[in-house]
Amino acid sequence: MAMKFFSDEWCAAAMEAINNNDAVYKGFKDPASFDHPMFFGLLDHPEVRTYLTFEKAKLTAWTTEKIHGDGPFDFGLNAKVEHFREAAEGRTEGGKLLMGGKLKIAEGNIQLAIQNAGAFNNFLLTFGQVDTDWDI
Amino acid sequence: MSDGTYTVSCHDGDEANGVANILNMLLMQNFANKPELVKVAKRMKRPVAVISTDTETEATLEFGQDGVIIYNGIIGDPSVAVHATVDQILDVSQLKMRAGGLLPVGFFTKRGGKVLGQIATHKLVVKGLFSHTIASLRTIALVSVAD
Repeated sequence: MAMKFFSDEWCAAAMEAINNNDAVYKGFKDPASFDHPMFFGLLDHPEVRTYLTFEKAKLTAWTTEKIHGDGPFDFGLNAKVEHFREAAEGRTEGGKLLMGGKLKIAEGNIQLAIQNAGAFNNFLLTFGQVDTDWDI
Repeated sequence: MSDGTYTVSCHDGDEANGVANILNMLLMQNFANKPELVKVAKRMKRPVAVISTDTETEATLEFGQDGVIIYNGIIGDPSVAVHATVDQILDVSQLKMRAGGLLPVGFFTKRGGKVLGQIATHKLVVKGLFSHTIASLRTIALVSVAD
């Protein structure tokens, strides 16, 4: 059964898929030091925001709970559902959506996004492995 | 936003396009992390354009003595115009530059070789590279995230 995008059960399923995707891991510049608190939110549903933790380039938490308080975050990204879906379905790479202004970095270090662009693209593409209900 | 002495702003505010927004963040963080780049920015006499060819998004950097303003689209008469895909822009922004771009050490790496190869085959076009070489190298130094 399809899970609501960015629900807790969806985040858990996506976390497993991402951690099992070698293409994501190989896309990190320095996996051993990739430890970062992040958030991903929806521009068209501002009430929806998820919080995640990377430790050594593996996701150790991804939830709708504010596990990092109000920040600071090393990376925060907002986009409309349709643009996350566009990346998940492989129609457009994350980097192109970012440069085209469809994905918006709200907080954090742009260096992180640039140096780990390979991981970022595959991270978003892995969303497509999760049976997702995109109708929020 | 400002590093205290040199400001970075998007002329189009909330309507700034993706390239303008990314350049805005990149320059703000670079001026904060590498304050020596402010001198490099102050030496830029004419605008620089960045054209993301695969997203058809353009932005122009106009440098002044107090700050840089980033415009949507191509404004004025840029001396340097980088026409590149997103992947090429990512590669260029990871080239290590020394001495404000005058020592382009990043070109002598695997990534730099790839960039040079794409320039040679016109897959990546830097207009002004030969007529405004120093400005071109300074541009790369300003947007480079390499330590």
